Amino acid sequence: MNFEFTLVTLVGIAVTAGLFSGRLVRRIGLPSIIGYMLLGTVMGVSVLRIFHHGHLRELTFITDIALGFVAFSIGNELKLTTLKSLGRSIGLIILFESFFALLIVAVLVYLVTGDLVTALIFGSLAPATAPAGTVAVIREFKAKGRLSSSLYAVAGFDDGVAILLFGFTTAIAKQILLSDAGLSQGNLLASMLKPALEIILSIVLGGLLGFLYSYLVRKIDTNSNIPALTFGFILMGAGLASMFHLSLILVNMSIGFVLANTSKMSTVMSVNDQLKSLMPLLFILFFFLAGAHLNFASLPALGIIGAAYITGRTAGKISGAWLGAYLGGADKMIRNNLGLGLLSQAGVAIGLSLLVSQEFAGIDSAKAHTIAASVVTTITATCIFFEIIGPLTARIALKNAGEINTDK
Amino acid sequence: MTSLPLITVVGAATIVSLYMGRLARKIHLPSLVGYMILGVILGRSVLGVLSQGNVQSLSFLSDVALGFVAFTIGSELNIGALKSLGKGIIYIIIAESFAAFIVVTGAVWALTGNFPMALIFGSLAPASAPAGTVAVIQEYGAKGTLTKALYAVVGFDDGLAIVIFGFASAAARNMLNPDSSMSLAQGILQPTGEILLSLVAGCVFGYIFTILSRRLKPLTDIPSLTFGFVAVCIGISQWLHLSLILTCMMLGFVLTNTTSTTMVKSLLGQLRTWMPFLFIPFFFLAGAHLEIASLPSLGMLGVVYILGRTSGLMGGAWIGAKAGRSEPKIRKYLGFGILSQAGVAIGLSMLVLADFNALGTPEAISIASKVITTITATCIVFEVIGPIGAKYALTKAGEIGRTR
Repeated sequence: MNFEFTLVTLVGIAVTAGLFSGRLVRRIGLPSIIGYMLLGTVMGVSVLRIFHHGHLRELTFITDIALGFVAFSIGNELKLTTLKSLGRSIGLIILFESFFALLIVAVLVYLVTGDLVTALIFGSLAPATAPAGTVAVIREFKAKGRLSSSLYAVAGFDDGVAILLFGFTTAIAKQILLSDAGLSQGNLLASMLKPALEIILSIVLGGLLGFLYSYLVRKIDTNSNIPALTFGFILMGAGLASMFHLSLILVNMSIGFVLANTSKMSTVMSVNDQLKSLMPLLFILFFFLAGAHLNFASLPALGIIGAAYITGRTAGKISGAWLGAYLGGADKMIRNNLGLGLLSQAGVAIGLSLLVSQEFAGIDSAKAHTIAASVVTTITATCIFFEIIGPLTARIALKNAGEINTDK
Repeated sequence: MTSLPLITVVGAATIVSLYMGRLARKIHLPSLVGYMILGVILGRSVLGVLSQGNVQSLSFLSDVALGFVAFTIGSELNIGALKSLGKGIIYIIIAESFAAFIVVTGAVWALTGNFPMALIFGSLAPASAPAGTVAVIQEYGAKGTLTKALYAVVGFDDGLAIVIFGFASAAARNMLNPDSSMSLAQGILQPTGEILLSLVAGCVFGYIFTILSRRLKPLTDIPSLTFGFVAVCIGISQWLHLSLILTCMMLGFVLTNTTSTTMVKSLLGQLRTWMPFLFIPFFFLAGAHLEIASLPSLGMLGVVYILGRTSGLMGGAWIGAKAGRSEPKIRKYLGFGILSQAGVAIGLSMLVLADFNALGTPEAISIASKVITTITATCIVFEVIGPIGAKYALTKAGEIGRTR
C-alpha cells in the first residue's frame, strides 16, 4: 500500500471495525474495550502499522478529550450523600491501596536490584490508576451498587494521591541520588510542595469551572444547548490542565463533582443522559488509540524489574484495598473485590515515567541516566499488561459483587 | 497568546459562541449568525486569537460537521415524502441552478464584456451551502413541505452545481487557450463521473451501513456506527476527489429508505442532540475564515454577482415550482431558503485559481485572482444573508412552530 489514507478515513474505519471487534469479544464474555484495544494493536505500531506514530500524535487530542469526559462522568457520579454513605472507608481505601502499591513495588524492586533509588522510582509510579478502563466496564455492563460507586470514587480520587506520592517519592529519590553523586542538592521541601500545589490548583480550577458551569447550566432554558456547554467546559478543563501542568483527571472530575452536588437531580440526569449517547464513541476511540500505541517491541524490556513491578503493584492494590476497607468497616463484598477493580494503568503512569526520565536525564550521573533510560520502557511494557488485565479483573469484581445483571 | 492549546481555544469558543448565539436569537436572528460573528472577531480579521494555522488544523471539524449535515439531509429524504413533493422538486433544482448560472453569466458579461470570465462567475453561482439552511431548520424545529423541499434542493443541487461548473469552466478554459489539452467533452465527463461515483460510493456504503445497523442490537451503538461511516465517506471523498456532500447524503438516503422508521427516528433524535455542538464549531470556524478586509474588493463585480445570483436562484426556484405545479408556499418562499454559499464555492474558485494559473496567460491569471477575491467576499454576504433568508422563508410559510 503506497497511498496514505486520510486521517478521517482511518478514524472512521477504526470506529466501525472497533464496534464490531468489541461485539466479538462480548460474545466470549469479555468487556468490549478489550476488542477495541486488540483491533488498535493490530492496526497500530506493533503489527500492521496502518496507524503510525505521526497519526497517533495528531490524534492525542481525542485521548485527552475522552479522558476529560471520563473524569467528568466520574465526578458526576460522586454525590456527597453517596460518598457519606460509603463512609470513611473510601478515604482509608484510597490511602492504603496507593501506599501499599508503592511500598510493595519498592520493596520487591529493591530486592531484585539492590538499588534504593530505582526501587523508589518504580514504587512512586505504582499508585497511578487509569480510570477509563474501570469506568468503561461499569458503563458497559450497567453495573449499579455500592461497589460501583466505590470504584468511581476510588479510581477518581486516587489520581490525586498518586500524584502526591509520586512527587514526594521522586523528590526523595532524587535527593538520595544527588547526595550519592556528591552533587549540590536542591530544596527538598520545595520539590515536595510542588505536587501538593498541583493538586490543590487542579481542584480549585476544576471547582471554579464547575461552579460557572453549573450556574450556566441552570440558567440555560433550552436543553438542546446543554451538550455544547458540557463539551465546551470539558475541553476548557482539559486544555487549561495541560497548559498549567495540572491533573486533567482532577480538574474535570471537580467540574462534574460540583455539578452533581449543586444542581437539581433532573439537571444532572439530563446531562448524564446526553453524555451517554456520546460515551460509547469516545470509548471506542480512546481504547483503540490506546491499543494502537502499544508497542510490543517494548515487551522484552519487561525483565525482572517489570515482573517485580507487576507482582508488587497487583499485590499492593489488592491487599491495600482490603486493609483500608477492613479498617474503615466496609463490608466483605467491597473488601474482597475493590482492589481487583483498580488494576488498570495507562497514560498517567507513562506520563509520569516520562517526567522522571526527563528530569533524571538532566542529572550528571551515570546511574541517573540508566534509570532514565529504563523507566519509560519498563513502565510502557507493564502498562500493556495492566491495560489488558485491568478491565478483565474489574468485570470479575463487579460480577462477584453481583452488580452486573446476568441477563446479558 | 499563541501558546494557548487548541483544546482550550475550542472549548472557550464553544461556550462563548453559545451565548453569542443566544444574543442573536434575542434580535430574532438564527443562532449561527452569532457563532459566525464570534468567529470573525476571534479570527484573522479582528483579534487574530485563532491563527490561520489553528483554523487549518481544525478544518477536519468542518468536514465532519458538513458530513453530518449532508447525512442528515439524506436521512430526511424518504422516497415517500419526495414523491409527495412531486416532480416539482426536480424542476426547481434544475431551474434554480441554471437560472443562477445564466443570470450571473449574462450580468457579468454585460458588465465586463469578458465572456470567459462571465462563464466562470456564472458556473460558481449555483453552488449552495446546505449547512446554513439545515442549521436553521433544526434550530427552529421547522416541519412541513417547504422544509422537506429545502432539504431536497440544498442536498441535490450540489451535484448539478458541480456539473455546471465543470462544463462551464472547461469551456472558459478552451476559449482562453484553444490548444488546451482539456477538451470540452472531458470538461463535462469528468464532473459527471465524479458525481456518479459519489452517488455510487454513498449507495454502497449506505447499504453496508444498513445491513450492519440492523445487526446491532443495542441502539446505543448506532451513533458510533454512524460516526464511523460518515467519517469513512468523508475520507473516501477527499481521497478520490468526490463530493463529500453527495456521498454522505446518499449514505443517509439509503438508510432512511431501507430501514424501519423507528430506528431512523431514534438515530436522528440522538444526532439532533449533538448537531448543535457540531454547528457551533462549524460556523465559528467559517467566521474565523472570513477576511473582512476582502469586503472592499467586492466592487461592482461582486455586487453584480450577488444580485445576479440572488435573482437567479429566486427566479429559477419560482419558475421551477410553477412548471412543476408545486404548492404556492414552496413557489413563493423556497428561493429565500437556498441563498447560502460558502465552502463549496470557495473550493471551486480555488480550483479555478490552480487551473488558470497553470494556463499561464496573463488574462487567465487576472481572471483567476479576480474570481477568488470576489467569491471570498461575496460568500461573506451570502453566509450571513442565507440563514436569515431561510428563517424568513420558513416563518412566512408557517413551518416554524410558535412554541418557543
